[in-house]
Amino acid sequence: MDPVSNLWLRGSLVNPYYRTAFRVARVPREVVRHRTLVQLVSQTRQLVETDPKAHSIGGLPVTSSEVNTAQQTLMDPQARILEELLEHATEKLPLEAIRKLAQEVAQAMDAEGALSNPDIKPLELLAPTLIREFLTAVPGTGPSFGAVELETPPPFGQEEE
Amino acid sequence: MTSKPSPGSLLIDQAIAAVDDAQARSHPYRGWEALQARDADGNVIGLLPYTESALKDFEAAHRWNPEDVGVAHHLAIAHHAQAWDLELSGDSRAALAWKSALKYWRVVQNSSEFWVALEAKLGTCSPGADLGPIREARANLMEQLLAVHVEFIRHYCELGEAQRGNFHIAIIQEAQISPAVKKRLTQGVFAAMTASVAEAKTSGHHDSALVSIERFLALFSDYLPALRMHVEVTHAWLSTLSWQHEWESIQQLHHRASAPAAALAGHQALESDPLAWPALEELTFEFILRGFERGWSRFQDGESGGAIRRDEAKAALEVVHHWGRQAAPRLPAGSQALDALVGSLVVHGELLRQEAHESCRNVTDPRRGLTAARTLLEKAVQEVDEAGRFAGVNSDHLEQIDGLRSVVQGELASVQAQITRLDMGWIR
Repeated sequence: MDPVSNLWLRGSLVNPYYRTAFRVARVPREVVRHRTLVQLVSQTRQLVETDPKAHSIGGLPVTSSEVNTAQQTLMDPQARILEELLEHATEKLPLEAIRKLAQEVAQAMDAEGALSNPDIKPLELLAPTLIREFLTAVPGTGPSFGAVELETPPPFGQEEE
Repeated sequence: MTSKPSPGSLLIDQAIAAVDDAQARSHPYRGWEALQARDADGNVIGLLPYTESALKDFEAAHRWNPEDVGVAHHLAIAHHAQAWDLELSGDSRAALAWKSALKYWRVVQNSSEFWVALEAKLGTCSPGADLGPIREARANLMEQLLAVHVEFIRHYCELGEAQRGNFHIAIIQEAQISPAVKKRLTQGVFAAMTASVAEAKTSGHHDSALVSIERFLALFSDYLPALRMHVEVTHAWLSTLSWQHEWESIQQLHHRASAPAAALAGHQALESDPLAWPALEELTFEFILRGFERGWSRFQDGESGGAIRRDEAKAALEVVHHWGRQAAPRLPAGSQALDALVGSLVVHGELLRQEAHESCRNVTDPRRGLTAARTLLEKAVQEVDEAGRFAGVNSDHLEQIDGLRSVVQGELASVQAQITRLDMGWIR
């Protein structure tokens, strides 16, 4: 497959954003591990072969042929990367930092024995610092890696996503 | 007296403020959530390219942080997908959506961060993979996106609804792209808008062929291939027309083709297209041939047919003059076309002379008649002189030209003398 042919013109003026390889194959954009990819595509193929109407996009059933083409795209690293231009990256709420903040506050309250000792002055001093750290430390969205990724997803052959 | 808030409640307020702030910065997440397609039970069944709600959230995220290229990418996809749907449903809001989409795609194209991350991900998926296609995709991104508009133009032309392509043409014309890219896209638009011309020309539907080309030239008036195509189709049409029975059609075609042919003749890149000048030369010859045949025929009838025939002759010869003068600098000496031009100027000069004689016979207002005759004879001299210049030194027409020049100059002098005598009151 020519990875640099026009992504937006695939033989007709059909909107290219509905039937991307990711949507057709039901593979999240964030999946990079080969084994997982093959597994998901296989499941989709089985689904459409068993029940042609089980997987539809915009009211039109996805065909086996489309799944095959999508698989070709996703298995070709360059074509797959370019296909990501057409697919939204996953976004997640930056909750981890809030949870961490809540945990630290709870720990600080336990350590101070808040229920038995009303003096929580040290916690008052700590809390704004924690909050300021949180507000400035929330990272921006990784443009291709999707959500607030704190680590690079593992390469092929290593850990599951 | 109000009681001081407890340290615990202050901490809670601060925590709530932290959460509120996190939520304010969570527009990308809310936008992404709004893209989830769900079944009747609320289960996620897929990801939509856009929803109105998602667009609002992503736009809010972009306002919060215009530097976030991830959000720009979301907006590029969402606006582009929406524009496409609106376009296919004939909704006029498509125009704004296309513009927004291209704006955000340009932000994506210009972001090194975005493409470096994409290359890094390619390296993760396939260590050592060639990064060339990714870099090429980035470099060609706007051209590929604009090619979409060329296809819409083609689509509408094929449907016979060319005017629906106007907005897409405007997008291409206004796009901030390199001259080389614009040239390729213009070629694409030209091919799209004139796709039907070859068949129309073959099947004799010359008018519809010219309409397609003229529609393109109205937008890209200086496009050399289009000008040549107009000349070629005009020539094909003209070749089928008889000067005896279809002179009106020939004259209409002359008026229709004059501007494109003049633009072609004067085009600074004329030499870059080896087929352009031959096409123009062929058309010129056809107009000259037909014009001269008609003009000469009417000139010969003029002696018995009077002023009407003379005027018809003049009109036909003026077609010859228009095309001949335009091509003359490039016509070889002694060529048939140049010869016809010379002959036409001589005959036209003779016609002007005949008209001048009639004008001299104005008894109601002799001075007016003589003045008009003087103007006609001056023009006749100019045309005879012009014929002499085109004829060159070895032409068979030289004797005729010299003879006519002498006669006309003599008559001009005579008319001038009569005007002087009238002005002096020597004659009435």
